[in-house]
Amino acid sequence: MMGKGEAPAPREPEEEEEDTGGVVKLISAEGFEFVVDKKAAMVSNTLRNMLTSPGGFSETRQGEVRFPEISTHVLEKICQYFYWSLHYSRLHPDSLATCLCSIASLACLCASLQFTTCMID
Amino acid sequence: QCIFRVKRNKTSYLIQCDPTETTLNIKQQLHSLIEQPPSNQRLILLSTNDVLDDSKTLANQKVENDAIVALTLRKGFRLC
Repeated sequence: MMGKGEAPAPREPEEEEEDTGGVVKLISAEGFEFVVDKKAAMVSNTLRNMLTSPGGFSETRQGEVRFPEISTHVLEKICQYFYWSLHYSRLHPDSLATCLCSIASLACLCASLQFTTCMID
Repeated sequence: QCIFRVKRNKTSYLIQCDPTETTLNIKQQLHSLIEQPPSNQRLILLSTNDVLDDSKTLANQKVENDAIVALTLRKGFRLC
């Protein structure tokens, strides 16, 4: 993705620092919770916007995002992809396509195709 | 560098670590997430059903990338 992982850090102090200790909670349609590193969640531009936009949205404040349309299996894969992307996309840019393929075939099986693909863009 | 999932009830914690870290390191990492001291935690590797030993490293106990580990807590203590 893009290399501005560290860029937002200096801007943080203006927002109230939540006590989630740098993790965010993603909640699937069935109510299963995935606690992931905020850095990993920020791989997704969609989540980055949800978690950093000013204006005191509950997602930003509590570090908790609900996905009523994403099933647990898909959300778990997405979380794994975040970490995978964080570590390997910089080292092996070529292999990114392979990973996206396996995620895409998974996504085809689920009804939430559109949202899923927009999460991993 | 490995990433594994610690699961309890409906919650999964994705934990990043180095295979040379000990189980105790992981429990301390979990401590910051769940407010339960390492002494109240027990981790079980699901693929073999082995209880992880505090003093051993993850590599020694075959906790690999993508492994799933179950978290149990001492009786009488619950997650807040």
